[in-house]
Amino acid sequence: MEVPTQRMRKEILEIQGFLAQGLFLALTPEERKALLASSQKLMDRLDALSDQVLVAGVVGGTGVGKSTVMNALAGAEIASTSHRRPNTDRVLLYRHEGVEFPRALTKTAVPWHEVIHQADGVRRIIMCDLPDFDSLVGEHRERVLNFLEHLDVLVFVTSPEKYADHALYAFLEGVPKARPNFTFVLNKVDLLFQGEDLEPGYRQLASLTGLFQEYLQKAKVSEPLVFPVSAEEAFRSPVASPWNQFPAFRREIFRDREAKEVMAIKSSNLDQEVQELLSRLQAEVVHIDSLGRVLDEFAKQFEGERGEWKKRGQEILDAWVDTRMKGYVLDRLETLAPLVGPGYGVARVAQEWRYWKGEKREEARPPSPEEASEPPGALRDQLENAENRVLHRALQGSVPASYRDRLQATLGIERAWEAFSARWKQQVELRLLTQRAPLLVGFRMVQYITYLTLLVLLLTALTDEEAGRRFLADPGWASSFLALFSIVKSLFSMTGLGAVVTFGLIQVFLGATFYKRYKARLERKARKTLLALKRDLGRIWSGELDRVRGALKDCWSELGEQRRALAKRLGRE
Amino acid sequence: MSGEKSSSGYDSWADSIRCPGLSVEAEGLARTVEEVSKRWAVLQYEGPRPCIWIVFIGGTGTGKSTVFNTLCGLPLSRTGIERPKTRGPIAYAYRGMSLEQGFPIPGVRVKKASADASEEQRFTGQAGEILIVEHDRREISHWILVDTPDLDSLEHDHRRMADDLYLMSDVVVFVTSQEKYADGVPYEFLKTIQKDGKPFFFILNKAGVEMNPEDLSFAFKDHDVRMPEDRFWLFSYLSSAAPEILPKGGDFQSFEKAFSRTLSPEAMPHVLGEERARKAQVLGERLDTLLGALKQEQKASEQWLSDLDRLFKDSCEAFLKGRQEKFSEESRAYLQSEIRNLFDKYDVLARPRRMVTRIISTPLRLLGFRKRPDARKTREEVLAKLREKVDLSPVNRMLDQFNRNVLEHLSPQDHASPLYRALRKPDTVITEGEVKEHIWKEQERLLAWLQETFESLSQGIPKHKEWGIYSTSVLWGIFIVSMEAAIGGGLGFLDAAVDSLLAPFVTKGAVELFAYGELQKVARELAERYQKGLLSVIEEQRDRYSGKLESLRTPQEAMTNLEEIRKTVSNLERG
Repeated sequence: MEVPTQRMRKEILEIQGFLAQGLFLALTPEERKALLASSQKLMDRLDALSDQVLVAGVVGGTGVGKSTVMNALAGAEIASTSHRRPNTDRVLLYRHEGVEFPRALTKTAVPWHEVIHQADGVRRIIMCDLPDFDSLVGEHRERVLNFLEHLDVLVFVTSPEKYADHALYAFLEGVPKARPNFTFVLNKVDLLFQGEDLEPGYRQLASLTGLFQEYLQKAKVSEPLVFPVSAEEAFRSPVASPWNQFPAFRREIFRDREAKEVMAIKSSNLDQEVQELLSRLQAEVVHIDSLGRVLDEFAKQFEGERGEWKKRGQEILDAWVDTRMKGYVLDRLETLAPLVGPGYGVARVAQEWRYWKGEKREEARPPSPEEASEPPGALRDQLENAENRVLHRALQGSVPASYRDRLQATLGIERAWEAFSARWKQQVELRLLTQRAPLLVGFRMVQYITYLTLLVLLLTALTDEEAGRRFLADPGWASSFLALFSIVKSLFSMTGLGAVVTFGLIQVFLGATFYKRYKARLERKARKTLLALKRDLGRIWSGELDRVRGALKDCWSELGEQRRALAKRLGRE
Repeated sequence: MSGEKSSSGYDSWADSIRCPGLSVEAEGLARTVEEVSKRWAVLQYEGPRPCIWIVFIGGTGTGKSTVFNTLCGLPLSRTGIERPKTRGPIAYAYRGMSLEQGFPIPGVRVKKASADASEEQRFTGQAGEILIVEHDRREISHWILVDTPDLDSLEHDHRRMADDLYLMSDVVVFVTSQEKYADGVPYEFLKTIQKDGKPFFFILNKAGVEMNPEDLSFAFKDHDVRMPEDRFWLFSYLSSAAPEILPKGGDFQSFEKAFSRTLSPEAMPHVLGEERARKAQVLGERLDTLLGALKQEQKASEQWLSDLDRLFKDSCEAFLKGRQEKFSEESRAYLQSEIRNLFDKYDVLARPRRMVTRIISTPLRLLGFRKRPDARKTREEVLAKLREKVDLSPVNRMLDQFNRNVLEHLSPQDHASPLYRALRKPDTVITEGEVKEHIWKEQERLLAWLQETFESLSQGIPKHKEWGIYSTSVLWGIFIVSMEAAIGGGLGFLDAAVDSLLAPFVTKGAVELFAYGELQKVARELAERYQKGLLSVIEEQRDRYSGKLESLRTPQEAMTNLEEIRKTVSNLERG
């Protein structure tokens, strides 16, 4: 049998790794600490595995004759036997003088007493007589349990009266030792051989031993080694009765074991304990699976509803852009520079009118651009809703609190929102700053030309036909003066008045038209900007949705890794 | 006390006692209920039967059956080295006691055998069955001797049976052995017997020669069990020939003598009277414990419900507040135009004004200046529009939040608690489909209400005011206004909106003046109703949660029943 020290060391280190890392674990800090401590103890024992001494413990209920078994094994009265129950309250160690006292035992909190002997035949083994585990003194049971870690081989002693006691099997189940290192002694079988006729005794013994073995097998000791003995007889008389298997039992316990075998015994026990420690982590696999299911379900749902999430976000931000940003964009765009002449005048009048009338609008405008670009809270609601949903599922699926906290931290809505806001504001600023009021040189030219043409038309209308013709035929100082004179003259006539009024009306009409066109242009421009802004913000929103999905995915993959690592350890058998 | 009636009453209360597991462990409570119901059944069963139940109790292998057989004078119960030997209780009783009627331990069959036939044939009993061996010995007709399975073997049912029979016992014969007297399990049982003050005989069987009574007091010294001298016997170890030798031993004879004397027919009324009163007293105590626990649980449930209500209110408040904040310019503009459209219809001057407007605006419209939106809508359109417009996502979001809060703050921590499981049942949470259905149903109800309101309104209004003509369109217009107000701005906004938007029309001296007050009232109520309709979804969710709790609470009826049983038991206690 090979000693898998390396493997066990690796396993213990892995357990410690699991515990030390801040992984998803549902253990309380105390539990974590206790597990770490016991894993360290195992490590120490693994280091001391090469100790050649084998420690055997005699355990059993009160009154079954543990101490008698001890005495009979030692061949001397080392343990006090008494009909008084419970008798032994401390561990009795029986050690050869040449064997060093096991180091680990110096640390035990269980009271003990030591007997040194010189019997070279049992040199390699330290025998321990333990208190009972079933008496009314509950403390004894504790002591036995605490001492178990020092034992390599366990001898369970029982009697024809007690072999069916529940206490024995309950205790047996909780012992973290490899089952092949158990030996069972059915003591006091001499009670069955009291009469002259031994035949019924043998019959009873056979049925009793069979039943005992059956019970042991039910308690998951697959091949129980049972010795029916009478320790009393073995101790008192040099020759044992034929039914008394004490000599065989003695031989089994004290047989000379090779170093390798001792190692194997010790390591098989250790292995059992390592496995038991690992099984504590089994619960974590269950928790991980429960969270995994939640994440998986939610991720699927989220993926399916992604379009809807995106659309809803887009609707929210569209409304936000339209109501919050439109005024700003228009304000920034609106200069009166491209308007000239009457157009400018109309614009001014309209502006004044608006200011005079539109106090309400002023009030409705957000106080500062900084505040204005704060992203809409409705989007945050959406994100929080994602968190609420996934956590509600987790709560429904009985995912432990520590896992839920972890999940919440991974989603990190609070922090993510800050980053989101920053990105949002940056984008808004970028769009608003980069946009410029249009220069509209052509538009201005058109205005000039129109107004000029109108002026020329007016002048033409006012010029006296005669003077005009002369001016055209001979453009010189004199003719120009004449034409001007005729203009002035007709200006103060009825015709002139009509022309000027008409001119004025047409000017106003043109001004209004240009203003309207200008406004329409601005609107178009603003619409474009706003549309671009909506697109940009939509991208940011969908990026945020990606982040949420990514966070869930990360969480899932981290969990999956941990689960695989755990399952790999636990699945190995 | 009428046995039949109370027994049926018992059934109903024991079955209907439940607890959500808020302040007590549900499993523990269930155990108490079981114990109380058993004790109550035992009391009712034994009441009319004047005989002493003597139960033999002890660990496996201590020789209970041997002592039992010896006392009966017949080898009834099989003895032997195989453990555990006795599989079910065996009772030795006088013929014609009709013990099988209404046997109080649930799930236990009663089987009968005759003592004569059993001379050679020994019984081991059977699980889940009590075997009553009948005899004709008059002198012990007032005894019912019962051998029980062991207390401490790996068969758990044995222990249960022993516990149940202990509840029935008037006197206990506690049998132990030299090997077992200091064992934990039997010792705990002995402690219970002593604590209960039940009369008992302590027999230390299979004692070695070196054993003496002081050893026992030595073992029990620090463990508060006192052993009365006159109730303690040592039977020495007798090997397999015990059945023949035991009755001849002085120890046994002294035990038998004391036993017969203590439990003589003359002493019986005293023993029984005392024991029955004591049983009633213990039952009374258990009942008090149970009632206390249940009341505590009721109180915790009330607290839980009020916590749930608080969460519910918080959710509603947050929802409305959130909605108000998110009321957008867009919906405000929409609202204004709706109101304007509505009131246009009321304006007597509207028609000429419209005509003038049209004359002026037609050329302008040709120039692209103004476009008149067409505001007329049919009822179906309004409803369809409304359904499409009612965005359920805020309601769903609110539900998600509420559900999370409930599980986070109100779910018991213990996974085994009934409430924990109930809150997580799949039918607890309202699905999105149900939300939709619910809201639509609410809307239909609102429509019906609105229709009714306007009908009654139009009846009361003089004809010349022509309310009736417009009532239908008013109805739908108002409907939209109120919905929007409720969804968007809350009630505060509704008032402001109605005031500021209606004022210009009212001051124009139009006919609608009369309608203003009514309109405002109706709109307000409608908005309120609509808001309630939305919130009723969480209300429904809250009711589902509280329904889960209610279904786990003990009904008042059962509590009353229990109180009544307590009263009856009090009377029994006094004898």
